[in-house]
Amino acid sequence: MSSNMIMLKSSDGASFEIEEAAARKSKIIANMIEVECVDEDKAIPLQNVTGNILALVIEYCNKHIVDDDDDVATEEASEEEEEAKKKKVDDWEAEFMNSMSLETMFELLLAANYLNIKSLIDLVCQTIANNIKDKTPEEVRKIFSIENDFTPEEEEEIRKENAWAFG
Amino acid sequence: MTTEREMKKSSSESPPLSFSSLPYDVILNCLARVSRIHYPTLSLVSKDLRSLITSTELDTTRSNIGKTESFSYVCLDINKNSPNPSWFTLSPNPKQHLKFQPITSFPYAHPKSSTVCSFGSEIYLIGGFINETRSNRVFILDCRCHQWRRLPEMRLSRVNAAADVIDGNLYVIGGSESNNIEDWGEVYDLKTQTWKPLLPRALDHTNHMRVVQGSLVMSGKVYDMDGLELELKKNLLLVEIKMNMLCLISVSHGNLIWRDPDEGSKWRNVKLIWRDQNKNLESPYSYFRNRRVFVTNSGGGRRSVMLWWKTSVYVRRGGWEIPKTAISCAEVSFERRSLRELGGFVEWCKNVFLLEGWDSDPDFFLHSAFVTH
Repeated sequence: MSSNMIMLKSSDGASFEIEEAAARKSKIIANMIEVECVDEDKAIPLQNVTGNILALVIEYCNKHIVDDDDDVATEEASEEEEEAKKKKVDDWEAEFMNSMSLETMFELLLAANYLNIKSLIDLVCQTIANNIKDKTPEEVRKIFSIENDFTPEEEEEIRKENAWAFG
Repeated sequence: MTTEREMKKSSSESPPLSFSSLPYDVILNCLARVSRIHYPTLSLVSKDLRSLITSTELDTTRSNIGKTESFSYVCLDINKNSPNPSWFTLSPNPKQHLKFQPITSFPYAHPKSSTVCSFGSEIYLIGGFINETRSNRVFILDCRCHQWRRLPEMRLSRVNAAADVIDGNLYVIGGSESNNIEDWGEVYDLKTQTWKPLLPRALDHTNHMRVVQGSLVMSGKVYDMDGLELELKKNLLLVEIKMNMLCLISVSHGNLIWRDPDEGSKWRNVKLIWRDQNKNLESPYSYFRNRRVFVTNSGGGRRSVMLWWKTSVYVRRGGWEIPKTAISCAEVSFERRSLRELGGFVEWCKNVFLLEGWDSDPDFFLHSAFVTH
């Protein structure tokens, strides 16, 4: 594996060194590398991502270099090995997301969206989805700081429409 | 460094990030990953969320990221006080999360001996007898909002017709009083919204005609063919138990039975066992032996069937034992063990609904369909 290192710089001026293979998880950075607008000595400025979030993004990318799409080196790993590997990644991802506040999740999601890292977008979206299932409307409002803008009459109307679900 | 510090300052002045301020497609991505059974609750959160939940973009996102779910719908005749049967929906993963709920009742007179089939998120209710008259009406249940609406009427009135959606068009065959070959079947073209005649040879080369000798298979149901006449074989299903392996499944005298679709192959009992070996020592058959059992497809590519029956139960309430009737359901998936043996795993078996009193009417099961959305 190439150990080509590149530098990323966050919006608040923090610099991070990262393996090119890991940075390529971001389609945006991969594109930049393709068209060679990456100067070896200069850091890539990421103006929409703060240092603490970029650190998380890099932690994620480093953990996922091996399962990169164009990494065909996995050859004929046995099914069990594959499964064990997948479980390890799943466990790591669960741990990674578990320690995160909801606001950090939103920021991480914005960063992943900006950097176009599909698997990270999916991971965070899934975690947010798991957070809101089985919750009451009031609880969801609290989690997302959303205000209830229904009148009691409108609320009643929706309950009636969906009576089959609230039975 | 100064410029960056300024940037940080400006960003810290903006209000804390909230869910609603995320990009539209990211919000859709989150919502698409929540099971549809939670959507009614989520639509009560706020107006914005409600319009997202009901948007077609959310449906598109669900199918793009492979998060669609399959729901079984059944139509049961269980309320003796109502002339109309009731429709229910079963949650997509009843083994873990059982929810069996009545939905908006059918707003018209229920057509007896009608046909039900489904496509995407919609269920079609076709023909049947209304006040003992053959009907050419077709109704659609939109399962996203549980609203019924009507389709243009068929060319002919049909009862116990065979129906299926093939390549996005609705095919309805047989069940009319006409002997004319051009009245044999008809196709509803969803684009032009018109019915067109369908001749038998249009299906000659499809699997619908070929799989079971002398029969027509539509929506997994089997119809005996005698010339142009079709006869629905009740409680008989053609099930793809694994890729390219089809079996006929039925229930006889409380036994789940099977055979190969080839002509001349014999009916045999399915060897039923619990999926969780240590769950129960009694044979699964003890749960529905001597009951009238209905067998249906479970849908969603699950390659399994559902069994439905009634059980009399007592429910304890304040020292009293109140007699009730339970609607029971089990899901069975299959494993072909040898040429002559088909194993059946009972994935789960539960009472899904309780009726007041003892109701022994065995013919309570009218229709089933599944939708994926």
